[in-house]
Amino acid sequence: MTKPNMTLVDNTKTKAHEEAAGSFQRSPRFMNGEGFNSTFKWLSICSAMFILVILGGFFVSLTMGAWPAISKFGLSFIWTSTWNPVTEQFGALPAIAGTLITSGIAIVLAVPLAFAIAIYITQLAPRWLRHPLGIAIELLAAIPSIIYGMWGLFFFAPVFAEYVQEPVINAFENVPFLSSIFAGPAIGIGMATAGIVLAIMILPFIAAVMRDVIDTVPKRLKESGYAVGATDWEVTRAIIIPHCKTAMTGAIFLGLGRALGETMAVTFIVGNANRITGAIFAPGNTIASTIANEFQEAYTEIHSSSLIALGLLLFIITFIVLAIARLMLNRISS
Amino acid sequence: MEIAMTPSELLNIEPSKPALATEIDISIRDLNFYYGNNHSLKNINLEIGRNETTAIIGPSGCGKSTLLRVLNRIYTLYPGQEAKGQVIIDNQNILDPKMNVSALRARVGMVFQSPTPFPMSIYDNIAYGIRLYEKPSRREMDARVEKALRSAALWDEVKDKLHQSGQSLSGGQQQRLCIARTIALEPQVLLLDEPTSALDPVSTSKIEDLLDTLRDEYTIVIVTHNMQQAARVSQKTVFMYLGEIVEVAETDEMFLRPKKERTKNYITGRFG
Repeated sequence: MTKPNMTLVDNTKTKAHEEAAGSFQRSPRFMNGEGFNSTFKWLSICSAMFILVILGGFFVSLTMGAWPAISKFGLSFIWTSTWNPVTEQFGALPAIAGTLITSGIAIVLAVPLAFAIAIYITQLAPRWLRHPLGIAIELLAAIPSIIYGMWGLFFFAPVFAEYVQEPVINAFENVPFLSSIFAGPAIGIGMATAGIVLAIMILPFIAAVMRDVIDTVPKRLKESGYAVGATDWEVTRAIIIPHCKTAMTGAIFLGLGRALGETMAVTFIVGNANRITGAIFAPGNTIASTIANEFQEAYTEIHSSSLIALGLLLFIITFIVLAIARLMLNRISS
Repeated sequence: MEIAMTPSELLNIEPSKPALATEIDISIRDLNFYYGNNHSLKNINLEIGRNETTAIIGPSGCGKSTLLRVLNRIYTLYPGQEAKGQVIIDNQNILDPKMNVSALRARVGMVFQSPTPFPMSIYDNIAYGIRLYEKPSRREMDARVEKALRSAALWDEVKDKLHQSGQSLSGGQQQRLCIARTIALEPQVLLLDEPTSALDPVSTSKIEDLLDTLRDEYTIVIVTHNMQQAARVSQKTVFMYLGEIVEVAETDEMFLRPKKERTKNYITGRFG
């Protein structure tokens, strides 16, 4: 019984081999060599290079556009606090300060909240709730910024003026130092308002990235924390946070990068005043909102060139911030 | 009830059995375990003796890890996993929902398949667990850390770098650090879930030697898919198959004269 079987198997094997060899020689697939493959390869290389060309092109054209301003004001453009189209004196300091203050407020408010959301979704929420919450976060991130701006101006600002600004200004009226920080007209719009709306805007981004980062903590590492008797909070503090400290900072920088460059919503509610004040309720300006507000009215070359210089500054700042974010987030994959 | 024994019955007590401690540390009664709708442990009844090492063997998916994970209730981290029945340790049913799991896990420590040092220094890896329960003085803590590292046969290798990251150690050292971290809490039971499956042979034999010395102080339950390891380190072996216990016996007995056909097939490598 075994022997005939063996020969049969051997026969088919040889046949199959012959067929394979035959088709290898005859197949049209191998007739025209590389064919489309090399074209395909070159197309994708060119597409990839195109990205670098665009990036470099932005930098070059911004620098060229900004050149009149750069050659007139030099580096002092960055720390000059006058922005006066009439006298043609342009300094970026009020816009830089406004950008940093609004983004700073946004980060301070959004990060703890985003962290708590990410922990809840990954560690504590019942399974059936995790997915819907994740989707809600993604939807929040998908709302166009103009809607945040409108909402901030028409709904949030009046409420904020009446229920937060007035009481806070009154409460700190006689406290030295704090009275100058919590100062300004209680009109709703201003840097604090912009910061809060920005916080809501970047919250879903930070929360979503933090969620992904926390998900990379090995299951067994968490279990071993619980196995020595630690509670959810103790495992979070001693294991999850240290394990993904760097990547979490990356998530924060990612949010910061978005906050720095956000234009539409901020332009609606920041108040658009080109002056520096330490008061967070006062109207101010950011780099992006200054550009958005003034580009239409910039008739002189030096004015529009100064605006482009502002743009170049923002480009460099966000580029650095996002590069840092990337570097930190990449650490978790290694 | 007839209490008196005839001389022949008395003689039937096997003199060949090694003198094992017969005190029961953990007794599992009618334990059933469910992963959602999957009935993965079926009517488990098992007694685990104090200060002896019990090995649980069986093919993948037979429920041996699941059984281990019931003993410190680590399974409760995952919704949808449920244990029914009784697991008695010190006259307490640990499956009682009112059971304090932190206190339970201090008494029933666990070491995992791959080394899992906490992201902190070697010293803090040990001190972390201790600090969850007590606040010893600095000097006392130093002594506790040293004692735990010595018991895990790691002290000599790490005493000069206690403040380096635990994750900088080699795999075998990391696993001994995890054992040290667990025994620093002075538990009664040590659960080991395939503790050497990620280690090289030299590190494996170090861990096995260590388990041999730890048996004097702890009740050890080890899950392993390595039958030589079970034979080397344990006094009692439990063979499981498809969520059920097929056979429980003294380890020497089980490997020399398995009573059930299925056990025999498994330990001779005919299936697995």
